[in-house]
Amino acid sequence: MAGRGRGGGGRGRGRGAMSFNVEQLGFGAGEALPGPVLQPPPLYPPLERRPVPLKSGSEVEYLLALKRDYVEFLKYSPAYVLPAAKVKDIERYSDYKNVETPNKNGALDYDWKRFPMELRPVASVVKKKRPPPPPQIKGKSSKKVRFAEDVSTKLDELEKLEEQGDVEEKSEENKEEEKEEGEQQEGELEEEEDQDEEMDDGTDYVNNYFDNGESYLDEEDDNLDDGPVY
Amino acid sequence: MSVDCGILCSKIILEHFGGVVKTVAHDLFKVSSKTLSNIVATTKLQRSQVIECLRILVRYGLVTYKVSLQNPKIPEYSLSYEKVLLFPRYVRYMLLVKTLYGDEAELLIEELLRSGSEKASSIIVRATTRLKEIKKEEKNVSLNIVRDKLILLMNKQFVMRCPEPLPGCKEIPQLIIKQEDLFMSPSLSLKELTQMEEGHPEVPANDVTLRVNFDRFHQEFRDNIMISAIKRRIDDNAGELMRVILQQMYIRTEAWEPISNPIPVVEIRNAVHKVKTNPRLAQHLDQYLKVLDEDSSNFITKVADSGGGQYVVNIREAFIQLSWAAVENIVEERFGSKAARVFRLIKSKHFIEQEQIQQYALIPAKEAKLITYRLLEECFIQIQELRKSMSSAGPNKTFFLFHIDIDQVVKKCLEICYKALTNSMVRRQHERDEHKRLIEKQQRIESLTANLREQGAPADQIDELEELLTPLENEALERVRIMIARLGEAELRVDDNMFLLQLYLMYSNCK
Repeated sequence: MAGRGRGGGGRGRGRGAMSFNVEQLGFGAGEALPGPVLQPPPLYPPLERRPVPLKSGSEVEYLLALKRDYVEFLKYSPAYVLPAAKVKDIERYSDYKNVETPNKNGALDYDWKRFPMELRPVASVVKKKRPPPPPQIKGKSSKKVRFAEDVSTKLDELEKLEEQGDVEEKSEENKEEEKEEGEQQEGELEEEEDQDEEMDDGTDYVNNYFDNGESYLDEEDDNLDDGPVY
Repeated sequence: MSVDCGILCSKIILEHFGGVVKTVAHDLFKVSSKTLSNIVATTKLQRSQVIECLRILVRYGLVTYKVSLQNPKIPEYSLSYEKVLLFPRYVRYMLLVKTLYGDEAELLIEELLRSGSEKASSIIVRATTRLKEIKKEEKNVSLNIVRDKLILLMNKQFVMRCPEPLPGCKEIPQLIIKQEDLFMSPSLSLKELTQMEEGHPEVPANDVTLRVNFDRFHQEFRDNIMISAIKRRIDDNAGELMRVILQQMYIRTEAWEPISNPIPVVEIRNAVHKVKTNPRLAQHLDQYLKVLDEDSSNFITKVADSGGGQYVVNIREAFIQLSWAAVENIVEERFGSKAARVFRLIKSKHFIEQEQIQQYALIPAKEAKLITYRLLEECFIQIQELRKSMSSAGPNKTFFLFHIDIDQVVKKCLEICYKALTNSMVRRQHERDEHKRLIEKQQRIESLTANLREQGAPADQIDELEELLTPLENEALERVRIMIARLGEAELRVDDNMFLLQLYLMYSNCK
């Protein structure tokens, strides 16, 4: 039986390479074999027979009510662990609808003796290390401070940029007008001295921004003259 | 421990404890045991959250820990999935206690199940407050009665003590309790309980942590299954007799023995005479015993004639018979009555060839083959190959014998139950999500009308509010409610089946 299909591809029977007698499965000599199954079985196979109807009664009703109560209770108890709050990008109106369900049903009191060390609330120390979110009023003031800082740094940056620009422009001017070279150098020196003074003061209150501003304005005036008038 | 079982566990935990605990539990399901840092690594949750989840799982008895073999300072956690599968049965426990011992006992068990494991004093106080809320008109609710009920439940072994940690081990407590202490009720004074009820935070001195003893409930369910089976097979009196015999059995036999120790007829007779509810049973006791003995279900058998006769209860045999019946019914409902006939035929012949099946079952050859292969494909019957290799010359004949490995079939049916339960839970959740908006609207309106009624608002105002739900919406809500109730009921039935099959597997394993 085993040798039949090997040599000539089922020469004897003409039934393909089967290692067993197909007739054993109940297929007659002339019948065609069913084709290969190429698809997975359906996800929702049709119901061949209708199931026996359930006989519900008052007992089942009571059990279902009990179950509903039990699940509801757990849902609002601390045993229902809510996912960690996501960091919000912006506040949305829909947030107010998805308010996390508060644990109405009191806290669970644990008998810590029966828990391993790592599960005991020592872990809450780790929590405390995290900076607590600042209260509302403080938040505003800190924002203000940050805002002020932002402004000053921004101004500093701008100032530096302008200085560089000045230098470049001035060097260009130097090339053009060699007469005023000495004066310019003096001016630069003055500027440096001014900067030093300001550094000593430790405040960036009256920066040389305004000092430079004079020359800048002059140039701007020039530019304005050159440029189109809107 | 199959994929379906894992999915079912996840669904159950998701329904009761939320998604985060589910992630941790599912992670634990995949391995035998795991350390905390491993869980954190695989679940990618925050460590503090994993700790919270583990606390809850340990508290509800779903996760146990033991010292890691690699590092004796670190515990390893493992999920006991069979405890998770008990959740759908919780309501049955409550109902059983209610029928046996009344409302107080039911509330005590409910509180205990709600908190997993809890101090005796706080259980009593909470049950009492809830009882007072429910029974406002009745004045006879007191701490005293509830406490006595708890002590009764402990004496009847429905509630037991949690093991206490040994004093030495600090890092990982070793929980141990002596067998004789397990059901010892704590001595709580009424004075301390009253103080607690009034809001004093001190814990009474003799307090102990309690939990539910599921085995005791299962024992009760098991007895009920046997009694109702006899009732259906013979009649109510025989069922009553079975109940008496089981009661007498516990005097001499441990609850989970597969075969009971002999019970003398004299004792059964005395007990039957004490129960004066049905005189017919007392009158025809000998006949009933004989019928039970000769019945093919083999629930009890006569083992000796001394002292008027002695009987044993074959609990294991009973559950083998019941499981067979259940499996036959499943085959009948799934594949039709012809398939059931083939199945029963194979059962009675033990090993049978294909040709013989169509002969004996009187089914046309092609249909018989179709049915047999269908059953084989779905793992309800197995095939045994038998080669005759003696003759070297000529084609050697092979017999294909069909037979039933009932252990395999029961396991297969359990898997089907897991799947069915999962499907039902998923569908129920789906229905609820689909109609979430409607259900929420209904709840809002209900709470509003309830508020108005309390304030004594006029009836037309309330009617106006109630009319916010259009008739169409009401219809849809009613449909959803019925659907959800039916699914819930189906879950309870599936769980009944699961209980029977699990009992069979337990008995077949403890040979």
